[in-house]
Amino acid sequence: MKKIPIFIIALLLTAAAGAQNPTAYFMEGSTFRTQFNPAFAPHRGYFNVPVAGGVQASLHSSLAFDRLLYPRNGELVSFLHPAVSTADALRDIRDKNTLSTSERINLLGFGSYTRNRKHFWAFDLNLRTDASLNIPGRLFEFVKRGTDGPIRGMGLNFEAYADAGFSYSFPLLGDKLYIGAKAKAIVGLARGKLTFERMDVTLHDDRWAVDGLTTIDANIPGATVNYRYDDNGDPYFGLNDIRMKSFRPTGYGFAVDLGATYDVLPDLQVSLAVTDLGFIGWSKTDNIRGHAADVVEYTGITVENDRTSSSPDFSFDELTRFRPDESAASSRMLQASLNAGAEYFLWNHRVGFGLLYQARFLHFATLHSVTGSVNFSPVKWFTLTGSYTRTSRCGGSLGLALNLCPGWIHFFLATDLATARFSPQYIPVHQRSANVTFGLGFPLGKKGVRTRQ
Amino acid sequence: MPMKKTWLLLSAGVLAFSCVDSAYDLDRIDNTQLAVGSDESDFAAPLVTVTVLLDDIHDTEGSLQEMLAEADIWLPSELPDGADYVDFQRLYSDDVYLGSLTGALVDEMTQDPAKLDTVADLVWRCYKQDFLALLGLEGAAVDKSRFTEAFVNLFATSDALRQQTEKAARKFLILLQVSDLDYELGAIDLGEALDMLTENLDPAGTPDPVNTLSIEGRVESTLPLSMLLSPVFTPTGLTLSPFAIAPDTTTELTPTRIYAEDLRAMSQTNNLAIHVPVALQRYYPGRTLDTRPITIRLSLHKTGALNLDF
Repeated sequence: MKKIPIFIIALLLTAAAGAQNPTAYFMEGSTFRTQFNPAFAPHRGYFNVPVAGGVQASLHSSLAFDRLLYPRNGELVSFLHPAVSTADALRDIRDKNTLSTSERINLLGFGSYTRNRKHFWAFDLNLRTDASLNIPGRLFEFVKRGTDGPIRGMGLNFEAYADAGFSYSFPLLGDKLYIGAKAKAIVGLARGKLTFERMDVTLHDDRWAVDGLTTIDANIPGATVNYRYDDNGDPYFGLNDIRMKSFRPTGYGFAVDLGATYDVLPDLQVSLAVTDLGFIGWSKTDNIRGHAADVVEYTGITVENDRTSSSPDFSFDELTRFRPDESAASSRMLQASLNAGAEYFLWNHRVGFGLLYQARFLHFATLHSVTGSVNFSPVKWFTLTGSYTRTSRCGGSLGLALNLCPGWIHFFLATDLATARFSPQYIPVHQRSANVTFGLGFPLGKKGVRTRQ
Repeated sequence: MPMKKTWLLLSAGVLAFSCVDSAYDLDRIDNTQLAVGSDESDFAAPLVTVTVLLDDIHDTEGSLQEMLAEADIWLPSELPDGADYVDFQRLYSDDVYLGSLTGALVDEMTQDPAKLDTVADLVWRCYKQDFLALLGLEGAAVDKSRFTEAFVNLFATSDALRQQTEKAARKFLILLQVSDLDYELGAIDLGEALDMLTENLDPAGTPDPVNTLSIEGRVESTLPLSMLLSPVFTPTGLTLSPFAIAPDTTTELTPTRIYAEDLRAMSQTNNLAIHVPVALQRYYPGRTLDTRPITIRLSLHKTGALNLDF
């Protein structure tokens, strides 16, 4: 009874992408802003509250919650329920239906201006998880319409790692141009990729068949596999047979963030950055690889030459039995992002209009988004931002952000869920993207002179 | 103090814009019914494939191969009126038609020594007792060469011999029949698919039914015969709509609508069999025979969604 909602919630919570809340981009003075572009800097140095210094959770889905579940006759039913028409169920289905989530938790972070109050350095240690899921539209077509055919490219990808980064930014061209760079050492904690490479379904009147190939490739710290053996003595394993016996890093990597800001006019600033440009080399030691392949066929009863044979045993057991493949080391790129922004200020910098383009290179698809924002700073330590973001595949969302940095605290909060409709379990009903960014820290050191005094 | 006011203002604003929609309460989810497909769906699953071997088809006297080989001898090489087939129904009921065939045979035997030799050989092998007296060989020791020589020599001049030949041909042709076909299928274990297929079927008499179950299929035949087949599943008694097959054609069967009880009965028996009465309709002489001349493929068709209840 509860399996499907739990499954959906699990997907929503674990599936993945590069978490960067676009609403937070124009919160001038926010300590979190350097995550978008290492050339940005807060008003003054800071020391983040451990674990709460910068928390971000993002979700992007090409399918809204109300396209998976439908209220019917006082109950909530899935799109597979007979009461949900095919037209309704398949209305927003695309070739690729992606869901991605990303979480970043700042475990430790601090930064400060140098003596000249223009150069800024920062160190941070983050725990990050990215996950993404792709469900091909053909699968939806198959279950809702009953049409057979090849179903390819379904998969789930998951990655967890910690990065420790040092960033430094400095002015050039008489303070018009700021260049920033961040170098990040990365420790891979776990990763996994489950890919349904092939699931070709044939539903003909003379043959029902499924030709499937599933692969698993995972790095799990201290992983052991409890192999089972089939009638021929060949080993196989299922997902439940993988155990984590100890915790240790299972990969190491390196990445950089590169960015720049340029004041085209005194009140017009443009910015450009590439973040998470790097890789993780995952070790062979904790690597588990396997494949499950079979052709399951049902052709009914066959009678020939006084012999009757039948193939009614339509068993999918073999398609869930992973045959072990040799472990291997691998290098995988991080999910990089490109941020390009422009902000124009009015009324002595109290109001700013911003435009941001983001491209996030995710595992199954690249998300492009454009954000327009209005930023209001009546006083220097207070910024209120309202934004609207349109993301490819994921629709639009209204965002609100607040940054408070009086003399004794840094606090920021940004979300695009403020105007969303929720289920009682706080899952956005119609909105297909969700971003929440939160941070708390303490000011440290002298103020910078980059922003207006 | 200003910060507190700002915070309260922001919180109030957020609460004012966002809302909880209780229609999407996951506690109210109903997962007891799922459906694969929709009202427009048409699922087809293989049921039975029967390959009919040439040796499977026979009459009480012998195999179809032997029967048609003899028929080719008793029939004239050129059928009357330029026809390319023999109509069995007319053969059984129309004496004029039968007479035209045997008359053409006698004419051909008169004009074609090869045909005469062929018939003489057949008569020697199968019907010599009926001809010995006419050939003046009754009571004598007769071998094949003496018998066929007498037959060939007398045929053009002996009305009685020609009439006896026609009589033998008539007797054979009018009795051309084949036995019914019978095949043991054993058990059809549909397992959980049985409920899935029968869960939402519209009852008989429903106007414009959406959720139906039927047995459909096709028959490929290379036999030089057209036949009417009327399969019956035993012991369930489920009868498929009769269908005719023709040489070198694939015949689509007329769907036979069945109901939940029919499929349950078929699924629950361990000795399911199919009985196929055969009625010959046409014979196209002079063609070669395949060893696997007929393939009957039956499939189960479900229109509308497949319902899964949990």
